[in-house]
Amino acid sequence: MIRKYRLAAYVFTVSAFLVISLSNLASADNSSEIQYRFDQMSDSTASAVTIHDVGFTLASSSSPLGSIEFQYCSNDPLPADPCTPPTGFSVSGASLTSQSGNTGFSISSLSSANDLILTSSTVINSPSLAPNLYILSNVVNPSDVGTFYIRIYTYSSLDASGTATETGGVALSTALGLTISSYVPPFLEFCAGVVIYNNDCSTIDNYVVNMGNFTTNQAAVATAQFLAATNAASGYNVSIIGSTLTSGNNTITALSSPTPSIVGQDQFGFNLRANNLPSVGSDPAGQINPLVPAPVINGDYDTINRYTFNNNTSIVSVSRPSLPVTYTASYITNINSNQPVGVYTTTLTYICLANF
Amino acid sequence: MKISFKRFTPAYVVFTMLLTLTAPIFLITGGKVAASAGQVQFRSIQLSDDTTNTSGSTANYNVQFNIATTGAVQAVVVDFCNTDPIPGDACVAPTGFSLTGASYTAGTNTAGYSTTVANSGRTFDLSNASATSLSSGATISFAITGVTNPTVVGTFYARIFTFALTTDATTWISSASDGSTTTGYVDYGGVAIAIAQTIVVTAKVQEQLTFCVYITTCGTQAIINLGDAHDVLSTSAPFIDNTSTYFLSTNASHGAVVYLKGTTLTSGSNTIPAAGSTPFLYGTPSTNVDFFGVCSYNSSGAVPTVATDYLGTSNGGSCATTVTDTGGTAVLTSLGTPYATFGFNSTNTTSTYGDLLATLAAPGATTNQLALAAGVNLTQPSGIYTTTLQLIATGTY
Repeated sequence: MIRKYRLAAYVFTVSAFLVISLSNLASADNSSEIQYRFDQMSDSTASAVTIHDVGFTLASSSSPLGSIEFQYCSNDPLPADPCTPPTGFSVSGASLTSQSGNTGFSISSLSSANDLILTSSTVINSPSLAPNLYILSNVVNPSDVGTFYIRIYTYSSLDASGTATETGGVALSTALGLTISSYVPPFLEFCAGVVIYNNDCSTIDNYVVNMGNFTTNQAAVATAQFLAATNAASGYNVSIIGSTLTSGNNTITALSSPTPSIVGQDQFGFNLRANNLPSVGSDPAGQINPLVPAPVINGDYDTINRYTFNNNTSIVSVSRPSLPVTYTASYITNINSNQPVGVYTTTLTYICLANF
Repeated sequence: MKISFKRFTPAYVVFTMLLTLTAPIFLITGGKVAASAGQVQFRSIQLSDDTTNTSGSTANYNVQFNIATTGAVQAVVVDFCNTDPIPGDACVAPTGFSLTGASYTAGTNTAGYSTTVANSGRTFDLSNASATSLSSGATISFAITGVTNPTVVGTFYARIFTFALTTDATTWISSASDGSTTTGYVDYGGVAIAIAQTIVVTAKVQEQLTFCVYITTCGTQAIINLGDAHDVLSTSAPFIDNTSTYFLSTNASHGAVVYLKGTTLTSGSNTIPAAGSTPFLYGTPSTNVDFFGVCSYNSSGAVPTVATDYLGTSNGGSCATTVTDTGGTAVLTSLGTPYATFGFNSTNTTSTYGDLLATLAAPGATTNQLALAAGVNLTQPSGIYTTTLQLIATGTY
């Protein structure tokens, strides 16, 4: 029974208490971990010659600071691991263009393509805990797209020798860009009608101008409008083709030069301005005021209260691309007492030519 | 006759055999186990913490066993010893071990018991004068709480005794402070317990940052033809494309930022005007508006803080409600309802590091869409307009 007791007495309660310590190598190799560390690129595309802003804050001011090492690796950011240089990456031509925080550093001749060493002129015995920023220009990014790493080491020595006082890793990534492509075609918007509202050709619903009954004691007036817009580099030119008012073999005399409206005389003409003798028409109007670029109206059609009509004549031009501008043609007709009776008509054609 | 059982000798074997045969007949005097005692079965003591006591922390000991003898168990004594679990042997407390201040939590058949700690924190007495009879095989369990573990790694032992009366336990404890009394208890049993070394596992978690800009899958070049079926922009409404995705995953402890860098749409010396430095609303004052802009929204994962210019919400709408035009006629409804707004601060986007697009404040993974919009007016010079935008992610560790 006693032997039975001996054999059965032991019940072992053995368990293992697992302490899982997740740390980076900074703690593994007993050096302090550099804080607030980053590497900001000005260009993240592969193989770009770019600027790298390397920033960090020292964890302690107790260790002297004599040199700083920036080691770029493709395999990992762990300081104790062997470093595989990123393909195509190079700091060989890099320049230290700016530094703040702990300053007085220059690039050491000990640097290599993927390992840039900053050496101080003198050891900083009690380095500042203010943020450090070192701007490196002319850094060639890796030729591969994806993640690569920088390992940051600080040393008390001036030549990055000895045990690092602080370490830290940063992951950064090259990336493909986002390419956007669009096409803007040549635009020429042109229309003519009796009325155009809001610089919108779609509002035209009438193309016939009725000037009413002509009399010898009052000028007959009417308006029509046309709109032009283009993205042509040299703008556009509008001309007019047509004849004076005609009824069979009879015509109303067109004014060959700018002339006031004179009641009782045979006159047909127009201009592109707002007139008051008689009161008819409007100045050109567009989406913006004043118009930019300002249209150039043929001088024959640009004088208030002066009217003319000549076939196949340029009446307005714009020298640059232009937003929609609505022009108002102000027609006047006078007749003398000998004007034969009849229905007088004409068809006027406005032609717009864009100059791309 | 005092017999030592500590060595397994031939004489011991002979005696054991003799004992086995004659135990029902003879009373052994001077031996270490009362002939009438039974051994508690399925006994165990489970520790909540088996590390050495180095910081004053305490552990709970869950005691469990099945009694061997039918009858009332008015007291249970657990005596902790550093050398062996054998009743009758002098018991010395393990180095650093202490029950001082310990209490108990009732388990099976132990409700209503009270506790006493004796022998300078070595012996735990659980007693209840009202306890009723239990059948052989009944389970008794309880937890001793607030136990101070030994300070050395290794095995130590607990001796469990049950008593029919509380006074039997009191007598047993007082009769010999070294716990060597072998009379008075009903059942007994020993348990070995070990204080173990901790296992320290060290792992490295390296800095990580994964970032890509794509349309279909990460790693593929994102190329967008913005416009109608012929990539032609319209004067009647902007064309929208929100199929561009950027994915950012990082364990940077201070998060990460994403910057947008590049020019507006450009054709030679001509450019489509950037939407500007403040959120841009299409259609003010009218359509036929010349612009190129961007807004961004989160599609899954952590939600970054998007810079105001690129939120798309300044008109009460949302960037997420924009609709990608698929080659047909440009329609204003693609802007969402109300219209989403767009930004493109070309002063910043063409600066050295670009314009801040979004900030991820903490480690995480985020997937976001970029909605691109462009419209033209009638004066926009004709040409093929292109740009390559870069998104640059920077983590701060």
